[in-house]
Amino acid sequence: MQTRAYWNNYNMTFRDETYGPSAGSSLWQTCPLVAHLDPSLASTFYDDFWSLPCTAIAATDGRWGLTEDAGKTGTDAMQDMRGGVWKLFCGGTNNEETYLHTIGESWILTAGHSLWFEARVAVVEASTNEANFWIGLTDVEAANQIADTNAGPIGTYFGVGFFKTGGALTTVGFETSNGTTQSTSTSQWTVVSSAFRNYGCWIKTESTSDTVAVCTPYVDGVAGTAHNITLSGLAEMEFVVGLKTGSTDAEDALLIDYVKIVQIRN
Amino acid sequence: MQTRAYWKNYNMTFRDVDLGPAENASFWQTCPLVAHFDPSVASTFYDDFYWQFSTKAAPLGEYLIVEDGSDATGADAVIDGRGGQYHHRADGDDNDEAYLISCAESWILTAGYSIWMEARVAFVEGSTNAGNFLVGMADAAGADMIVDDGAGPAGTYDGAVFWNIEGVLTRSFETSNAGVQSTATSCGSHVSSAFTNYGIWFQTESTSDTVAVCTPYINGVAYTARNLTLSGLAEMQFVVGAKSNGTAQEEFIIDFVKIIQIRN
Repeated sequence: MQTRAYWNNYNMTFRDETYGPSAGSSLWQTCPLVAHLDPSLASTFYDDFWSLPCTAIAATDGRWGLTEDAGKTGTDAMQDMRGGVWKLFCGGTNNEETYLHTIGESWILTAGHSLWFEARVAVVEASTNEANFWIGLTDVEAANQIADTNAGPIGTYFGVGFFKTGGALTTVGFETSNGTTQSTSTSQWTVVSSAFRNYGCWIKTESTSDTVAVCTPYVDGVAGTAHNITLSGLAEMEFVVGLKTGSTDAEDALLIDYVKIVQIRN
Repeated sequence: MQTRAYWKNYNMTFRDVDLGPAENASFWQTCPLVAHFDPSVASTFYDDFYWQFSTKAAPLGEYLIVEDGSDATGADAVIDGRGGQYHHRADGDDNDEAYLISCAESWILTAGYSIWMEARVAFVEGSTNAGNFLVGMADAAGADMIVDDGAGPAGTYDGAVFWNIEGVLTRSFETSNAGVQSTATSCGSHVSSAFTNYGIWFQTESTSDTVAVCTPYINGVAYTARNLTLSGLAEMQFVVGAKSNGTAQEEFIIDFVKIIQIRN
């Protein structure tokens, strides 16, 4: 154990020689340390999923809601795993879906209010390559955030997120969307069924005169190709993680380890 | 107020000259700063007990309540006190008990995945030296985690706990891998109703480790460490509880619990 301060993106942060993260390999090295500590500077939403967040009937801890079809046969439950992990099932009929979402639309992209989010999620495929998922921020918390028949995210929403379409494990993409104006990168990453990956995004807007935010996706702490999103007209967003069953008619599931969202407050 | 960075166990950390902690006087000076704020590095369980609604009959949120009959005097509740405090009572029948337990087994000791756990707890004795108390981490925590008749922690579990038994003021600490349990470490004396910080640093920094070095801390001061063989360990829960010796009801008040474990 050797924790050291260093600079990354003009941001003084810390890393540990033993535990990591190594330099340049964590989304959070781009987030000011003071934003984690000072609530007058930034808001922080963090859930490590130590307990069952909710059921379709009752939002048991007040932060989460669940939108889903009625066909699931698996039981959503806490897992005996390191770090607090919740397993969310989806019905096994083609195009059945489930979405875990924050209760309020608590984040909006406006000039000068940068945002960082990261979620550690694994998809558990019942049939090889068939699952569809969505992880990100959107103003639309509703059925068909993931379009039917492996068609990816819906055609209009305000937000930013990662998605996987059915048919392959190599089809994890990233999208920003301002209404129907969407910037989509497909097949950027590969997932392995039941293996966790960290899906994060640094939505950077540091000046109140910005007209666009630069959205840089991070998977396992490594930056991908950034997209610009026009700020004008955006609405408030919720965090949503969702799953839709593919055409093979077998029940898929998600394992959710944590989600953390920091946004500049003032 | 003067906050300064300094090095402790090769770990750059901070202390404030006026507000503390003094150098070497906090358990958390051993935990990398980055583990507190970067969720990709470590998981964080932290409860300051501003609320606690779970009951034996209706589990809710992060905790389960395991206890005998409900004839204890006084309601289990968050009480008026600085920083959020939850007060729980075991009734006074001989060997009746009560435990507050995290709802899932969310921590497992494997090579390279250190854990830092600290809980601030006051154990309140109904009669002088008559209570049995326990706090720590164990798999399958539940009834008889404290054995009847002042016999200490269960004879087989995976984890590490502090405990105090009826008739003895000594605080003890042990590690346990199923039935293989370390010789108890004495960690000072228990004082009824006095808040005490109970910390355990489960240190394993290499994926080739075969044991974790488990160092108990009382109020930020380290006591003799015990090795815990990693092979065969199961997932653990946080547990705090009390058991009566029949003289009077025993109680505990918990102020906070914080558990950090390396995630990947």
